[in-house]
Amino acid sequence: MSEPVIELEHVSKSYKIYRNPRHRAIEMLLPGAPVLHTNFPALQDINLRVERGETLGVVGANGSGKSTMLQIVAGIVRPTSGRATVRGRVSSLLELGAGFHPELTGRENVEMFGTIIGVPLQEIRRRLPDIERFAGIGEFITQPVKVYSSGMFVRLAFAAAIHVDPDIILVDEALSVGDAVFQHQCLLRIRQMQANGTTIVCVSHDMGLIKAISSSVVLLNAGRIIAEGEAAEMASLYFARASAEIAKAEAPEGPVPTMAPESETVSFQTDASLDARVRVFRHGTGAAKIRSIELIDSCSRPTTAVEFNDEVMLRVHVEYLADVPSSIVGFGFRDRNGTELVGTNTFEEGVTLPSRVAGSTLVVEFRLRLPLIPGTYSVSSAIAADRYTRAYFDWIDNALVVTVSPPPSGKAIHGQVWLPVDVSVHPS
Amino acid sequence: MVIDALVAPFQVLARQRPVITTFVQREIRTRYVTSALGVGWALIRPLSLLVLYTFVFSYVLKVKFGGNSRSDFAFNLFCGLVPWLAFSDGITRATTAIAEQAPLVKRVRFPSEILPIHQVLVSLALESLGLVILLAALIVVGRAPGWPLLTVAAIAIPQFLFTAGIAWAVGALSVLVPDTRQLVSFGLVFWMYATPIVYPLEIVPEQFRWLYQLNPLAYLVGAYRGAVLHHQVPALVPFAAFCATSLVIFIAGYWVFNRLKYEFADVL
Repeated sequence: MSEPVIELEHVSKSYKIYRNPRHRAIEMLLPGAPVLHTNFPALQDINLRVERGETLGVVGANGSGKSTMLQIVAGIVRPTSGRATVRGRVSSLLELGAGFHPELTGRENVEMFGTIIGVPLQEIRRRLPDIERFAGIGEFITQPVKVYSSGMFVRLAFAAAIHVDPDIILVDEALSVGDAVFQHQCLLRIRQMQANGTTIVCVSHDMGLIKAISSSVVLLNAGRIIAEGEAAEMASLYFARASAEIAKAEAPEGPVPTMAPESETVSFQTDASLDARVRVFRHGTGAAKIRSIELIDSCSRPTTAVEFNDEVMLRVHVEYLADVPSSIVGFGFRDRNGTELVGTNTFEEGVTLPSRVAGSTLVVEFRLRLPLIPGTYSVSSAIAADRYTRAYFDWIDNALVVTVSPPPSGKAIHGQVWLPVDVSVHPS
Repeated sequence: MVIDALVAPFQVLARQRPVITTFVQREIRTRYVTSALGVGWALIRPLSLLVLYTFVFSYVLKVKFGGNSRSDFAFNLFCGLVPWLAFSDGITRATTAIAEQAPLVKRVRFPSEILPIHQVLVSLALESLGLVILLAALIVVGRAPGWPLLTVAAIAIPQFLFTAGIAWAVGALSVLVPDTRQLVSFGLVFWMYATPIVYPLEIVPEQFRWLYQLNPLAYLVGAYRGAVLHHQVPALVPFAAFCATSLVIFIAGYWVFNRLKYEFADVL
């Protein structure tokens, strides 16, 4: 095994925080001056090895130290302690178009960029046709970049950054730019680079992307690596933590909704923030009220972000305020345009709900897969006496907003919903 | 260790030559590309200063350079103004050179050393335009300089090293302590009048002359005048002293820059 391309050994980085810029000057210029700064630890004791050709995903909440880690790998920031060793030419997409000058043409800026990161001018010139083709901005390449749209600017910068044959490429949310066509082009190019042995470090909140490209993932929290491992596992851990954070933030007072341990002992819960969230869209007689809706992932954790075709459970908590002999509970998923794509109810699925008295509760769980095209969906839910009534007990829209990420296989979804298909071929 | 510190600044220049070249070209292009007069501005400033100072110091204050003629004053003044402006412009630009490229310094592994340097080089390059104008004027009035003119090229080398060293130090300090900028612009005004540019060294009272001996810019201005106006090759000992001073400043300036550069990304 050759030496790792990136090696971080006990790397820590703390920023000095000065209350007043004068304090920095005093500390710097007067040798005996008292300490006037406080330290903010951005990274603490990071140990990491990335081998050649590996793709490392870095995930974590905002402020967990991801960007600082990339800056250290890029050689922009020097660790306060510990050692960072990076072997090879680094091209970072940390800030696309950094150093592009608005008055220079696209082509001149690309040449300039190459020079900055240490690529000989001839090599950049040789690459220009490829870069221009990839950026796809046509005649604009000979115009000053100040006339570019922001999309064109970013595409050119991205094209330049990935065509300089870097040994290591650092990606910081950069792939989320540009239109869909461009994004796919980028992903293809990344796969090509992976195949050629380029080492990639990718920071993103887009778990679909992380899962799609990473060979391993580290999860950062408050400047420390708290977990590392295989991409899908880390992604669900990340979501679990994020959901826990959201739950904490949304229900500042009152009991924190306890997570149902396993299916048998599901207990009723009230989501204090639900009322406010659905107020505008809510209607109904009030004989029963939906108190909480949760989406539960395959690891029994509440979530709002799932992957294409993941098996999930939608859990609806109902409180009856009057005696109700019979009721049905249903749900629907709407896309961003408000079109209801899928939905059903207990009656259609052949389940009869028991008779309830005022003050009692009921928890209804729907197990389903979400074979929807990637995007965000809002969940509606309703409870009524029977399927024919228009007098709902309670109807809520926008009870949850769920993000569906693309299939990790890279499979394209045609249409809004995918249905299981068997394909047979019969050659004559 | 010591040897490293001595050769490091030269290594940086050698290694980063392509980047420096590109940045110098870009700076010259973009500085004037949007203005109607283009590079003309590089001449308008020294020429208008020439007119202004000639009026104030020659007509009003009756300062004389050797001969009595106004043209003699103007030639001496301009010959001093050219190296001075190259120096002071380079230093002034260096104080903002790094902050202007904040995205590069913060986000890309970028040799920030070259930022003050390229401004110094641009100022030197634009100075040579002023020198061309001066030579043309001298030829027109029949005072064509002889071969000692070529020594200007030799003087320019320590001149660059001296300016670069100061540019590195003030460039880095201005990032971390913004007050440096005020201090520099203020200090340059002092420095200009402490240098015999708008007056000849000869009219300075004897007891202050030693101060001028300590001012490398006074030497520089004198050497330019000697080579361009008086057919003089620079004397060896003062020239060697100037070279040595420049070298020390150059190495010390780089040392300061190198110590402070890792803080840039934190501050910008």
